[in-house]
Amino acid sequence: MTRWHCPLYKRFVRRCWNDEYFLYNPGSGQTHLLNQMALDILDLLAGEPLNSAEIQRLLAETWEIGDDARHAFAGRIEQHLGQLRHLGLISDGRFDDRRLLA
Amino acid sequence: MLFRTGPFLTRLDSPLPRLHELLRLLYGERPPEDENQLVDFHIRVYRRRGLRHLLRPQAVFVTDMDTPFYPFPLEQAFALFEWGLNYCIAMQAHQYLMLHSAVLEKHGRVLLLPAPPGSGKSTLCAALAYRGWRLLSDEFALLRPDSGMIDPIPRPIPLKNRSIEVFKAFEPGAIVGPIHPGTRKGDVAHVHPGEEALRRWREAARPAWVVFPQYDPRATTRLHDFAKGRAFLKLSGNAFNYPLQGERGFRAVDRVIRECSTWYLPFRDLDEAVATLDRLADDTAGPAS
Repeated sequence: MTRWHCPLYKRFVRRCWNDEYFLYNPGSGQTHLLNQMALDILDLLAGEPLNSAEIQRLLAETWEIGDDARHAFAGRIEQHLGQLRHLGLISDGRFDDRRLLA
Repeated sequence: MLFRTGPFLTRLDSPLPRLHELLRLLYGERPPEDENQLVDFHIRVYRRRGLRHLLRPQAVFVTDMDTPFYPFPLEQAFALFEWGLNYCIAMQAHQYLMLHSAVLEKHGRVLLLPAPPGSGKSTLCAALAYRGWRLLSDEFALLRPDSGMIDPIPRPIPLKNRSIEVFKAFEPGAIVGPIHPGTRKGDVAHVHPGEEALRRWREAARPAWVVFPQYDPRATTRLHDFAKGRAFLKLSGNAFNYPLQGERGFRAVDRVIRECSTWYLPFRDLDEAVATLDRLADDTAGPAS
């Protein structure tokens, strides 16, 4: 199973205004406007790599998601993971962008 | 000739008397510059040669062996020079984060008016410059990323199409250059930036207000709160060199957003808009840092 991680997490520069989160990624030079879920995923991936099931379980606890809504919640998380990967903010390990830090 | 515009020194080589005449009219007489200075931009504006150009005389703009524009009609040489100077600044002045914004100062604090073409930004900027605000720039906010200060670059304000007559009616005593008809941006005329603006070109100031103006004849002229996040996106998205600045640019825009109040100003009338911005400046006036 894919294990997600966020190798550049410590180098991100973040700001928040009125519940809108802005993140500057020095790896790409791009600025991103993120929602709370995207930010929570990044925070989870600041430490050890996690797979999707682990992310879903941890976020469901934080967000207090009931059993009946778990399936839809998992779908949203998968969607966010895909988008964060596309933006270059997280990695699925196929390309180890920690090399960018060298 | 050496020609100073704010922090930039230009060596202008042009045999066109009309261009020099308009430079004197719209920038005023200047003290001669010391020849032993580093020059930022080397610019040539000259009449294109050849038989074809006897019938339709054209002016050419060259900087550092680069010809970034097609020739303009000869009578538009001043407008060509102004756009060419904008080009030089936008392409080279990366010691600054360059925001696309008009910039004026009152009580030692800076008002930023970032807006796209058609919003009435330049007309409002010219109006403010003739009602007690000091013009720093109509086009570029030259933001020093490390200190957060904005350097002045006082230059003539280009007005387009109907706004030329609107401004002349607003301020009949202003020095306005000739109308250049049928340029790529329509009819264009330049407004003198004001003697005080030219005299105080060394005086940087700190931003205090970010106001996004929008001319709308049906609007009630009033300031509306503008969300800081959206202001960040608009400011950074309209900067000339934000991607090039990297993290420094992000932090510089962040600082502007944190330190300024942010507003949206629909306006239907110049007098009302000026009075509204005067109140904003007067109500929040305090010691400038």
